[in-house]
Amino acid sequence: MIRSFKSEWIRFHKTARVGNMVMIGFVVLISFMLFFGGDDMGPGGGGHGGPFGGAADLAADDGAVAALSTAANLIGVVAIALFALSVARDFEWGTIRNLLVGQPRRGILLSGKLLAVASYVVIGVVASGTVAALLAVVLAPGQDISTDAWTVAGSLGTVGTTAIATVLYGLVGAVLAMVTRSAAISITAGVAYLLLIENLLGLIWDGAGEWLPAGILSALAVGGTASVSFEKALVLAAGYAILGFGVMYLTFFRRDVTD
Amino acid sequence: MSTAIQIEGLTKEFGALRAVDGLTVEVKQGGVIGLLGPNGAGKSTTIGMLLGLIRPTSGTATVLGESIEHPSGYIEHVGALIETPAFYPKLSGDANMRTLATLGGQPASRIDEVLETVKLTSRRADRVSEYSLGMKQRLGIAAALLRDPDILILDEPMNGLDPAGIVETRNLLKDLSLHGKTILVSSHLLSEVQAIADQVVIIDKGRLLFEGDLAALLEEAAHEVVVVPEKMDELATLAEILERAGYTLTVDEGAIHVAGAVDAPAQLNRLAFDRGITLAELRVRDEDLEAVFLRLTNREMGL
Repeated sequence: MIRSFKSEWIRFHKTARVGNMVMIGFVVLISFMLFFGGDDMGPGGGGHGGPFGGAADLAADDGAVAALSTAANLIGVVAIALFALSVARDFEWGTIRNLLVGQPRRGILLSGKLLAVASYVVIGVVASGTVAALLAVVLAPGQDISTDAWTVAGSLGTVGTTAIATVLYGLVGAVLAMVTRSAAISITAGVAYLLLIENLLGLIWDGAGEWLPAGILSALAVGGTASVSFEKALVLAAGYAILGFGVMYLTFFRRDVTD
Repeated sequence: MSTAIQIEGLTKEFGALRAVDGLTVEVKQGGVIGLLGPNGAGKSTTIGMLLGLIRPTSGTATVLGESIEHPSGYIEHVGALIETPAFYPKLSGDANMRTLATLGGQPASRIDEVLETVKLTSRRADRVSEYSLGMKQRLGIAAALLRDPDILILDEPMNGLDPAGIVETRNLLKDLSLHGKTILVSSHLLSEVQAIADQVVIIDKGRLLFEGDLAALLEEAAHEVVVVPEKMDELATLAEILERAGYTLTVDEGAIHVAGAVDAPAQLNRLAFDRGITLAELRVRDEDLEAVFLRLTNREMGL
């Protein structure tokens, strides 16, 4: 599996670098919106945050990386794209044939690939969290944001939960890519479901945000919400992950590689 | 000589399509084996099954004595180029090779060797998207050689190569076979492999049409004597004389084609001379292997 991991690292570093830059870009954008957002728009109130958060979020113990958790859905979209590209491109380009001749144990090959992409995604989240923290330290004093409650542990905890949630977002992309063998279809379907379809489902079912993947992963990224505790989010996310792995590995094991 | 590949009753169905139909073939170790058939004959599907990419519907096969149900048991001794060479287009040739060498556990020095072998060293830093088809083909062969495999399976390796590249590839394959490698080369063109193949396997519609030495295939070739009179107005007379003498013939485009008469040119000449007909042309013509191949695959020349 280590060989498969290292091979994917070589192959995917350019794509992952672009993905990580986009993640950081989102976090920078959200940071400025949090600190300079309109006075009356923030759901957290307090004169900051615009539509993305408020002073309460910025003043919490993980306030230094509030931009990271706020941007979790957007970062998740990048993760969906990265995982989908890693899995689907090999089928689209036919390179999966080379890989399977190199490593015929499909489970090992796929596990190595997924671990490599996951490691890139985690690096992206950590780098984004670092940028968010640096910006927060610079911007907070000028915006009268209290930093008294900020702790390293709080920030690290949020970076950790965001990283887990982001990898799980990516897993959605990987599952769809394995089933469709198309990067474009899997990215479109994944993003549409997580950002649109599940929200529409929420209009007809109150429990959608508490039980369906997008709501669960959002809650996980911020360490739990009022309606979904962190523990519940973690358990449900683990359940979805197991289901996703099952579908993905079963599909990979059973289908012929004729592309 | 031990067996490199043993295929018994191998069948693959894709829905209603039977791509490979009860194929039974034995490939001995060493030498170059041509796997021939027209496009859609089932060559790539057969190769896919040998490499563990495609599951057979029924039948069995072994590679180096290991069942194809467990390709990990033999794949480290096999190098393969499958259909169109596939690489990551935005990575350099070198980076592509590193991904494969890393996956297969080969040292970086091996990349240098195989790129030198296929004469791509000077372009190794270029993106694969900038490669010509012939260069991609050579990179594919390099990838197949990374493991220094005992069995090399090459699916249409001459595709896209210029004449010089074809000659180089043939020489490379000959050289590898002289070093004890078993090389299975698939092609839809007999001429591509007839210069190097020791054995040929011809399939069409997934079924075996011929398996054996190239020399045996040559024996399948039809022979004829082409007779052309000096005066074309004597063509019909001469044809009548030869027919009366018991020969089977056809008249086509100003020539008489006498079937299976390779030992009788002198007799044909004598018969014409006795009637005062002078021959402008008298020659033995063997059916070329391409024609044999097409006849075996029930295809007509030009289709």
